Amino acid sequence: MKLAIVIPWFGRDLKGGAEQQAWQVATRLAKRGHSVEVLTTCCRSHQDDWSSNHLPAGESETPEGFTIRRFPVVLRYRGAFDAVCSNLLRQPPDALKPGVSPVTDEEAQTFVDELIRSPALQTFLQQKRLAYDAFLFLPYLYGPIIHGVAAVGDRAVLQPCLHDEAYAYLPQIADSFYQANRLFFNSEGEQELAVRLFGPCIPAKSHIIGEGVEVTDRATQAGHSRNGSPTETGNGRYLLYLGRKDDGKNIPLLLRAFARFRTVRPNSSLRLILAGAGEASVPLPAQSVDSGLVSEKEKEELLRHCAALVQPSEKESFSRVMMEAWLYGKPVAVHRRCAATAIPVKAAKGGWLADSEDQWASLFVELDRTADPAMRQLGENGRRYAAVAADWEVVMDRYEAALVLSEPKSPPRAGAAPSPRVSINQFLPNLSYGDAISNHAIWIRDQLRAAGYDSRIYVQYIDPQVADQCELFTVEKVQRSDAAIYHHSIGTEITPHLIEFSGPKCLIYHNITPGEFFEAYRPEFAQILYKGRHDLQQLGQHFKLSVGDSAFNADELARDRFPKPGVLPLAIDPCKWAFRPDPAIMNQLQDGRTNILFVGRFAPNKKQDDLIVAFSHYLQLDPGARLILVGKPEFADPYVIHLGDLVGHLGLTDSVLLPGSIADAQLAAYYRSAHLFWSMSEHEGFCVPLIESMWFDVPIIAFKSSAVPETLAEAGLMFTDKKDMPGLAALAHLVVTDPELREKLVLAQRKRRLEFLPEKVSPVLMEMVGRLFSSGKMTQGRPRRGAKSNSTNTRPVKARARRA
Amino acid sequence: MIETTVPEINVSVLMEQVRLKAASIQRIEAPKLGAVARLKRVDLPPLDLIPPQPPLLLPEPVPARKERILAMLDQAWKRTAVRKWIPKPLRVFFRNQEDYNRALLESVASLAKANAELANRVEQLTRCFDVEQAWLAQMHERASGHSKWMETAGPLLGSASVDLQLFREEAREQLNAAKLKLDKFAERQEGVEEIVRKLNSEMEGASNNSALGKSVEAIVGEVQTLLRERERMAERLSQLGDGNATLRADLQADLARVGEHLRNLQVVHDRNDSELSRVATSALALQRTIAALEERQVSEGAYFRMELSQQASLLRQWFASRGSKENQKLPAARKETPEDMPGRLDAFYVSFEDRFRGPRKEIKKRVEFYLPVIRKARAGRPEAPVLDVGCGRGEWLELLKDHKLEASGVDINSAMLAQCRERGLKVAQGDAIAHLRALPEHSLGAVTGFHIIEHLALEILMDLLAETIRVLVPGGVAIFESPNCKNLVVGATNFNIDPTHRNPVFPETAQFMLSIHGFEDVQLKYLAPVEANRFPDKDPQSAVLNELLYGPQDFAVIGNKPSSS
Repeated sequence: MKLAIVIPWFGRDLKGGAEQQAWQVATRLAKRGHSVEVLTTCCRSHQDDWSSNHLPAGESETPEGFTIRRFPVVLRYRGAFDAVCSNLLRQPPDALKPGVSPVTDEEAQTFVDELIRSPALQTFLQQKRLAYDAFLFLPYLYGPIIHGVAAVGDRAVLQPCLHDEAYAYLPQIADSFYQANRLFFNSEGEQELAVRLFGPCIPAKSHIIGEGVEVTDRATQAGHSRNGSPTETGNGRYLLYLGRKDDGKNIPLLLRAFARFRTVRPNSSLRLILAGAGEASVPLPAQSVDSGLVSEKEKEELLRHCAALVQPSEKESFSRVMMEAWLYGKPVAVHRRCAATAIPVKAAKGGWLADSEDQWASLFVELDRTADPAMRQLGENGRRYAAVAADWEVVMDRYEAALVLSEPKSPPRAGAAPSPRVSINQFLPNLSYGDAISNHAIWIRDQLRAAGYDSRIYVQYIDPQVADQCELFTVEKVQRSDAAIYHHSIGTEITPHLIEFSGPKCLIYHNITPGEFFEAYRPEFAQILYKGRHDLQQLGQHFKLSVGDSAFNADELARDRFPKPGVLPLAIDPCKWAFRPDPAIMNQLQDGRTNILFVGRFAPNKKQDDLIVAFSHYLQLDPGARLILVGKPEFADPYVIHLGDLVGHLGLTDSVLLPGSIADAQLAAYYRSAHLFWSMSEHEGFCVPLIESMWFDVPIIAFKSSAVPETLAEAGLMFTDKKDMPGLAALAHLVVTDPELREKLVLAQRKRRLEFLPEKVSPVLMEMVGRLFSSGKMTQGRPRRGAKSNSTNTRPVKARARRA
Repeated sequence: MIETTVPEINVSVLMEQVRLKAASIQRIEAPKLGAVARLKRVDLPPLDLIPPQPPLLLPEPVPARKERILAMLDQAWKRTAVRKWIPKPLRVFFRNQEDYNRALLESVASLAKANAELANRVEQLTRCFDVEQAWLAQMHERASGHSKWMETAGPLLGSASVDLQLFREEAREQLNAAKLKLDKFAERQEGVEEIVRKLNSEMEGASNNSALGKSVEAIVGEVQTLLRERERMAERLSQLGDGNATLRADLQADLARVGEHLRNLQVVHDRNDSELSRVATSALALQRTIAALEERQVSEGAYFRMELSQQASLLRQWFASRGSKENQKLPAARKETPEDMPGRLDAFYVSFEDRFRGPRKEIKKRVEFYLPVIRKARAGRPEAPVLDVGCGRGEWLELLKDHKLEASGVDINSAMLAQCRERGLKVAQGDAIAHLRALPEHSLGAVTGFHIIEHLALEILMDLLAETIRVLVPGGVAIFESPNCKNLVVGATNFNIDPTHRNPVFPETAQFMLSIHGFEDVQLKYLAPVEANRFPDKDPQSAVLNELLYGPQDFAVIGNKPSSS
């Protein structure tokens, strides 16, 4: 294992979170016996001129046991860079939208190109890509990182140290998150931010590594004694703020809230002490003290004797002082909207959350009332959390686990590769772009190929968009297969050929919509569906092996006398969304209006008409809301015409969007900007969009029908009848507006979606393939024997008959 | 109504919240819309030219009193008849006319009343008729008004059209006049120009004129006063500048910024410059290297490739023999007899082809001729692809690919195939006959072979045709191109350039062969006649000579598989 750490500036005494982290990681990994090299520039630090080579280029060994390679930087076009930079910083924070570049593409490229530049480092990375097992890049923003991640490809590990700032919204930054093989985050909150900015492909390749905090031994011995408080802190309880006192850290909010607390409880002895550089922009209220910049020792004293630490900042990727306070056994109050601090506080139960000025003021009242033992309990909770999360040794164990011991992505399946190559081919009527069944078939083929089988997809009708994925069906293709997988929904011309096929075979049932739904709109199609249902009963005897993509579908197979049908769920891999969503749609839909989404074919069983009526009720609560119905509409379809009339009749033409047939980047944009997924569907065999919504953290409410409760499982918020339309609208509005309800639902969905990851579904598929061949031996034998006995029986009879 | 499987969500609390919220929502009834597309009713615009007909207020019908009158009369009758069954002597006492009379009177009275009512109704009807009549009169008046309007409008329109006509004529005249004026003006302009020229020459002549000198002096004086004014302004400006030192500082800062910007620009410029010169020098060097390489390639390439392919075939053989006979050792290279080494001429043939066949582009241009044939046979669809036997460097395959036609090739020469694969063409290595034998019936839309049949022995050629007709789909097409030995230069000399040629195939013989294998509509196409050095076409002998010496150098035989079979 040979690791390279790539960072624009490197040195023992450099200030800055990422620089410190890099130094610690390099030193500690080297100490643990790993081969570590640091690849950096000749520029001394972030504060120096980025075009100057202060340090000599070349290789040097450190006493700590690792190697530093420095590469020269070159001149950069500073004027252009500064122009873009000031443009970027002018953006008000509220105007930033995930997936939308805050500046033009050209400006973004200038920004990335004219950051610190080191072509020599870039060339080295390109050429020596294979000489290292992994490259750890940090932090996310600089040229050597953005270009370097692209250069080393799947060996890139990015530790972004991400903040919610304008730079993070540049498209090139998104690309480096998509390209990196793994992502290391300092906190859950930071990962959360990355998911919000870059979408559902993030969690699958993320590791929460954390950051170590060095605390002197005195801290751990400090316990909770409040004896001997130093004179300058005076007597009585005080709250402590540690850090720079600028507006970006929300100091004005803190001081205003404290002033309000003072007006409510003028006799309280609770004080507020601020320590750190800078000058607050609002006057200090009574009972608050600014101690200015303090020494390390003074800081320790302040921490030891405070009642609690307050951290009102919203822009943290990891709060070191929070961990320090916890290590001193002190509870902390943090801003609810800062995920990096709020999530650990919630997880540790080590303090409080507050959001608006009102909430902060009432939090101070609560703090004033809380008795010491209760405070100590919270502090102790925090200490226990910090002891694990911020212990350098534990952090290094996590680095080792995520870097050194990480196994290759797709382990070869032992003993699965048959030789000579056995062919398992799939047969289905048609393959089309974006369709769930088609995606499933392609996934199965890739899995079979990875397992060493020869596998192809044969279809009757080819969609030009996926023409390279399949071949045209012929009868010979069936006969030449060693084994066949047949995807069945309604019977087609290929069905008889698969009935005739005598080798091992399996039927995958994707459900047939009951014809009743179509009766009113397309009676001729309803007849086809009735026939499909009827024909299914005839198929059971020909397929010894069958699976449904849900238990609901398997039950239908069992009802039609298929012997012991199994369940093979559809696999949904979030990594497929490692691309930028359509920026135009992202920009348009993130305008503060509520977006309600439903994804699905336009069909009477999906009940888009009910959804439109329910939405018209919803609009009374949220007049700006949009309803987006994604699906391929056939405009001559009577049901679609009906929907159009309904929208017109209810006066919803400005609120209901029908985007038509769309590409993946657009679909991703609709999911990314949706606030609610609302399904009124009355018949679903599986419903892939539910799982997709879960990956995009879109809360779901759905009508409880067919396979829907099974797919949602422990993440279901469903309704059992549709009579009370105002009630449904109220429910939808609650899910959209109540952050707690939404969070509960989304957390449950995050658990549920994991069940459909490829690595969960793949063993089920392989088990099915195993059964294919074990049962195949039987079926292979049986029909052959049967065929022989048939021929020996019938032929002589015929001959005799002829003679007679 | 609401169910949840998320344990953290409290359903009863949620239901209560929903109930509270839902109370403020007004229920909207979904309209019942028919499923099938409904025709929208078209409302014609109202026609309100005719005034609405006034309502006809018909009075209620007069109640008929006939029954009552009859009943009364009947009663009167009865009363009069009462007397009949009273004994005669008593009759005198009963003779009483009073009731009868009263009934009679009453009936008469009711008749009178009915009469009065009828009269009343008649009066009302008359009134209704009056109203109707008034409306009709109004209508009539309107109609007459319309007709009057028409009457007055008719002549007006007529006169207007006349006016229009007049106006048009007048406009035309005016236009003509304007044109004339313009012409005149143009003439006059020439005169003016002449005057200007004269004036100019006079001015030159009058340069030392004293009057002019004076005026020049005056002008100089004016200029001097202007200069003095300017000096005063400058003074005032400097005063202003002294009073405002910060302004100057700002200027300096601006200057510094501009300087920084210039430096930035200089950096960019320098970087671009150095990169440009670097690129230029490296391009030059590259060009030189390429030229040198090309030279060397011509001399050495063929040799090296041959060496390589020999080594490769040796290795192949060694691997093959190791597969069958485990214990055998690597055969020594020098012991190999040339006959044992398939493909050892591959490298040679590639360099040969590069030297003699002609540039790729030209070949591609030449084979474009066959695209319509392929299109007509509807070959090149995914279910009826084209197979090119002896595909060589793949010019034809590339052309098909360019036109989005599905095609693959087969060739025995590995070096050529490597070239094809580089271009992303679908090719397989192997013997053409063996390759065709492995294909199912009706699986190809077209089989093509360019300059291949002259390499084959007769038996093999017959096999090729038999396999071709088998694998073609009904209606599929076979195309074979070969040197035309009817051109004497080709037949006697050029044919022998390629040492792997066996014997020329005579065009009509090829045609015959295809026919006997069951091809339909077999045609011969003669291609690529020599254009240069022809004898003058005038005399018949030179025509014969032209045909023999400069005639088509290639021919193609094209046959279709019958679509009925």
